Amino acid sequence: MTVATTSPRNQGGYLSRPSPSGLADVLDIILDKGIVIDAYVRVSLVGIEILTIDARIVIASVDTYLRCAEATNRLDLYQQGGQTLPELVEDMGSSAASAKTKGVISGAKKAITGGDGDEERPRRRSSSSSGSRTRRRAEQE
Amino acid sequence: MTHTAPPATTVETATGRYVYGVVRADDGSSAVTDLAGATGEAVTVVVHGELAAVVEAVPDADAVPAARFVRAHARVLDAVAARCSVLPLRFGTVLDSDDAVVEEVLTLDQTRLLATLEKLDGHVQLILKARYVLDTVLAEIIAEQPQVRELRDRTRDLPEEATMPDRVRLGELVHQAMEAKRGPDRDLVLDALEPCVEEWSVRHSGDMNGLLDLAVLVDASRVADVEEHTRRAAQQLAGRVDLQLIGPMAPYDFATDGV
Repeated sequence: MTVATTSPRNQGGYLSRPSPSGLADVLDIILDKGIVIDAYVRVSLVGIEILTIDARIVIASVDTYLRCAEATNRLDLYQQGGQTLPELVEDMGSSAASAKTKGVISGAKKAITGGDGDEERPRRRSSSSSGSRTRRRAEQE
Repeated sequence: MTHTAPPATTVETATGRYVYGVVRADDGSSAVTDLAGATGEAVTVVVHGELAAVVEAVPDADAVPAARFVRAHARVLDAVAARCSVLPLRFGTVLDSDDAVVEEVLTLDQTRLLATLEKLDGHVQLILKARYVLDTVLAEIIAEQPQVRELRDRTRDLPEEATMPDRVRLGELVHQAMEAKRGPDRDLVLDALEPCVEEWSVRHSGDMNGLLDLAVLVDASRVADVEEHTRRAAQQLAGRVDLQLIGPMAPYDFATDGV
């Protein structure tokens, strides 16, 4: 993740000036931005155009609500001294029951980063991704 | 969609061209001097008319880890943007040859591309990320909303399966309450920034604690101003919102105006 300056997260109200260095942070800046050429669909890198389309899906779902409920109930634990805030925040950041959008976007990032490690060699185009390409192309014709 | 059905093959590039962005032909090679791309090869330009594409020859794009392209895309474009006006292309654009770069990129509407390059002259992009401090905002909501309090009391010590409808309702109320808070809090940040930015573009954020993700285009000489204004907003929101300001960087969010 982005390295902020120094303050712990729960102080809040400050301005940090991080330099994105993690792969996910860099991707967050560039993904889905910039000029799209007409031929983009047939020229882009492995699977990436699919990811950018998927990343636009926004669904406020039951999952989202359950996550909010969980956070609210956990806050109570925190107030009773049962859990520190950093734990709470981290748990929510990685919660599997995240909003659909978040899930899709982190899925996109995962596909590109090959998991959480940087510079890992990605797998060659998988059968499932070429399946998606074919499907999208078919929709456009 | 206007493009016609492509040939059956996709990236069969013995010598592909990864395309980073578009600059003026006049800026041409000086824009990319000493820049290495994703494969370590020198970044070059393909010139056509008044425009030039910033490209890297990649023997086999599929063989290069995508992560390297991600990093190179940002690094090369940020470096070029520090030297001259540049329009970033969408990440992941690979074409077959220099000829294809001319055909597919440089013969787009030149007048518009040149006009956008001109608009971007002397400007940089920054990204502002505003995130709620969740414990503070959730505590506000619990204090403000009796129904949230009640539902929380009813569900928090019971197994999830036994209280599902109440949990969904609780989450829905909290979700709505956070959304209601976002309006005025976003306005506060936008009002603080407005005097010192040329344009802004709101980015999507799916984070639960997300308040605002904003790309701003600013005069390069006013970056310190933006920092100062953002700091003031941070003070007004103290304890409730964390702010991050990232950049200067290439104008990723402002390349497509009028194109």
